[in-house]
Amino acid sequence: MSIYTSGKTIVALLYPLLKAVQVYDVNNDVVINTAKKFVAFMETLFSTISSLEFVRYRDYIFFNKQRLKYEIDSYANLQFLNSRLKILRIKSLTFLSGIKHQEIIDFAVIFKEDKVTFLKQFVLKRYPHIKVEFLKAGEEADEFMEDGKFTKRTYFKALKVTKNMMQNLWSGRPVDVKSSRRIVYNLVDTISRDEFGILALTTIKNFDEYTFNHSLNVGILALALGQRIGLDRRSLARLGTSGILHDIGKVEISKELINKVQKLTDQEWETLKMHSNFGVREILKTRGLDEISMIAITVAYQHHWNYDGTGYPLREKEEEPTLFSRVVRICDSYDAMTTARSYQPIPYLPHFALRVIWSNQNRLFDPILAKVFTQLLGIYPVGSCLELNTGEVGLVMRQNPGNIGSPIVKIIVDRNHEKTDGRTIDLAMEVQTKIVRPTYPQMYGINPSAYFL
Amino acid sequence: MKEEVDQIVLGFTKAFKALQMYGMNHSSFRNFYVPFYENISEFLSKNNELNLQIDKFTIHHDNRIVYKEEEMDLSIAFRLFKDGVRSIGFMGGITSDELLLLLDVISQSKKDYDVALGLWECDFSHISFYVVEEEEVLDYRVPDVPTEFVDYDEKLKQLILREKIDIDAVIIPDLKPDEVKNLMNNITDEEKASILPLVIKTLTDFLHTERSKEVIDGLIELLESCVDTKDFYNARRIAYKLKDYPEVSFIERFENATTIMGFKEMVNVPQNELFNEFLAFIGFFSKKSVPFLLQLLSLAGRADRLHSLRHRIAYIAQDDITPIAEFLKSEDTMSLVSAIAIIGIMRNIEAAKLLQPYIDHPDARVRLEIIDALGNVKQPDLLVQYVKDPQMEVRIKALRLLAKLKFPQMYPVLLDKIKDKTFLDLEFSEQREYFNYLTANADSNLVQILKSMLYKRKWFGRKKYRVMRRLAAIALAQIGSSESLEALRIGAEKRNKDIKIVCELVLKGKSK
Repeated sequence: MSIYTSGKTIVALLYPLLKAVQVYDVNNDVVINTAKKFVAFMETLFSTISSLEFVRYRDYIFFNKQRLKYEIDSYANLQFLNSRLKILRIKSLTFLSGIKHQEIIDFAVIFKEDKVTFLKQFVLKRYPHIKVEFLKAGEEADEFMEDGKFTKRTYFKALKVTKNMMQNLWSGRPVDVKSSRRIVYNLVDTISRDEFGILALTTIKNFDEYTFNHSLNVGILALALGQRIGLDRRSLARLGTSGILHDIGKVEISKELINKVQKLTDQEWETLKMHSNFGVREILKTRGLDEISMIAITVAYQHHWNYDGTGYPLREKEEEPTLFSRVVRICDSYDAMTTARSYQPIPYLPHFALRVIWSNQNRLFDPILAKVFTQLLGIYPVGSCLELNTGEVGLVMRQNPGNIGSPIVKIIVDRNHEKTDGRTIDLAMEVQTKIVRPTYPQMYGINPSAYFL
Repeated sequence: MKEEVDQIVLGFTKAFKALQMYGMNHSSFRNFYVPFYENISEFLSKNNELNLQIDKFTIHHDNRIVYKEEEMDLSIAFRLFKDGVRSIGFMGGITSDELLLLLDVISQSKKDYDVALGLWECDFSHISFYVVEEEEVLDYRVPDVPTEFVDYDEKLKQLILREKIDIDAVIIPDLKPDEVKNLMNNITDEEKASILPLVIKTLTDFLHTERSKEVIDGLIELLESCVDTKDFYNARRIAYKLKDYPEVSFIERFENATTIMGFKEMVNVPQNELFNEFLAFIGFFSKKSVPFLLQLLSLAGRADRLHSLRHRIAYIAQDDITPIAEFLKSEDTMSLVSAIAIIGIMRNIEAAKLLQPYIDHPDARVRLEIIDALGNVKQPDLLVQYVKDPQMEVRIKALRLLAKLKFPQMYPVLLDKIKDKTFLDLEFSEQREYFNYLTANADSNLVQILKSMLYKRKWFGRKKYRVMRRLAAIALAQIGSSESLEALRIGAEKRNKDIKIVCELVLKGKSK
């Protein structure tokens, strides 16, 4: 077995153990069996390798010097390990030959704790076959630790670049291609470093500047979905660009028509549908025909092609949308549904929009991608407002990897229906707190995006 | 550690300079690069990582300046800094390819080259970097929430009705193993597949709805790129669409000596499919390209390729023989031969007149091609003289064509030749063509003549006449009439072994 596969397998075996100790008693058979399985696999490796070392370096996880990639079948495991190592400020974690299942169970128990508790317990108990190296003060540069700041800076820079690009196109001015290329790579960096943080910012919707925010949000959602399915960074850059440019053809359509409140006439509808075609021309005008543009051109053209062969522009029977077009198709629909627009003043609730996608898989959307998208956003996507059985209202701040029905929420409305800056609850851990139903934040005079800025 | 880091940075600097001066394939570069790679690998195997911070003209390690160069063009620090790279990190496990790629990106000297973009594009596994953008003022103001009354519960009910979804349906988004496999295969397939055919399809589909200058220009750009990369399959698809726009000149740019001679490797490309795509693409060329295409012919190493190319050039030239006629003046025999061949393929009787001066050409290759050309333009009378050509190959070809074209005027002459003693001096293959001519232009007497040859008593036991008997028998079989076959059957019953054997053999062959 290669080093890479061995590393992936260890992470895959470690993840259920770490989850099991969160739910069961340490003497429970599930915990013991999971730990035994983990140790048994490591023993097979110790016959050829003396130590098994995981190093976390700027959100990359290396196993015995091989970088483990985020792939569809290992995403949750790797993401979880990365986030725990990051929280505990662990630089490297090494398992040595001779480790027994009880030692790994004990370690798993403290691994779920906060940084202070972990440190105390790690020193107190002895772990002869587990070596931990912590980050020294200042070792990881501030910019890497302060994800929130970096993420917001990237988001607003990206928004500015997207806006400039579209406005320049509208007014026939030249477009700064270099900036738009750079910003996509910044977004790729951000998504790998702070997926939840950047996804939270997609709750920023701007009624007046819908097209800019929407284009960027689709780009970000596509990047997140692309990362989940295991695309490498180069492919992510192409997908992100395609997401941002998918609606660029709208610059050829009058703003009056785009913002029309009343029902569109058949002719107006046909004109609006032409934005897929116009996108092709606008990308050619803006970026020429490099490899990224070519991909963006196909996505702009195909992003209204449905999975079942319907959609527009018309296509031949055997023509199928590309993977990137299918990704953007989902992300575009989700963001459009959850955004207020002239003809849709009250947007869909995020969980409702997700259900629309779920129930239209096979018809409008690729069913596999619809599943991954649901895993990504969870049953209650970030920005959802949830009425809880405590009488409070919580705002979904982020997903719980591996428990998509129980997100991490912040209490924003108290039992008396007053706005509050309440505590943050992990609904997977605080099992007595239940979700009653999702609700409209507008009912409480709340704009969810305010909590992510 | 300080010394080791200094050594690495110095090695990095030297390798960078050597790359700028000599390029990557030069041994001098390798002399500087190899020690650098060895040093950094050794360092990383002990320390696992090396982080360097980048400032305008300096590089720092552990708050210590390890590199300083203030000359902008020479400074590694400045190259990185100007594009926003503020730190660079190396991880244990780094490969030589990664380091070479890094050096390559940093040493790019193209104007407007963005080092940060270059680094991003590399997607390193063991090199990380941090890039800053200009500071953005976070001037976003959260919009006010509308205050008018909305019955949100009612709104939700309406939406549920409209979307026809089960709001309480259980959602289990776990992927089955085969779904994971499908998705991964899909990703791999798309990564491997070229985007080009899809873009061409998209752009051509676009043109179904609207004529767009940008899209046509885009297709032309793709066409140029396809021709550059010898992707004639896609080039042909684009050309096919663009020919719908006669006002757009898209092929002219390729109709020059440099471009066409650039196709020379296509002439002998091993894969027939690729050659055929190339052939199909040049079908879009105009007759302007003929003189250049003719030059490709001399490079053809395979007869079938030469044949196809000549046909294609004849097609491109349409009925205009002017550009080809020029090549009749060529001193190069192969060019002359090709020109004659193409004129023949064009089947232009007027053009055949141009061939007259070459009928007696001293080179047999020319005469052979003339015969083909005359055959194509159906001028058998001009072929007659070749029956007496000093070259057997030429005579055979002429006889074959005379047989094919049915030219009975030669019948008595050739019959006399067959009856002549000297006929026995000819090679069997040539003798056979004489008989083939006779059967192709047969008159009612021929069966009798052949029968008498077959049964001729005078030739009994004379070995050298056996061939005549055999040729007569074959000719009778070829005629295939009831009378001629009956003659063979009678022959097979004869007691004379010479006759019996030859007739039996021919009848056996015929029945097969």
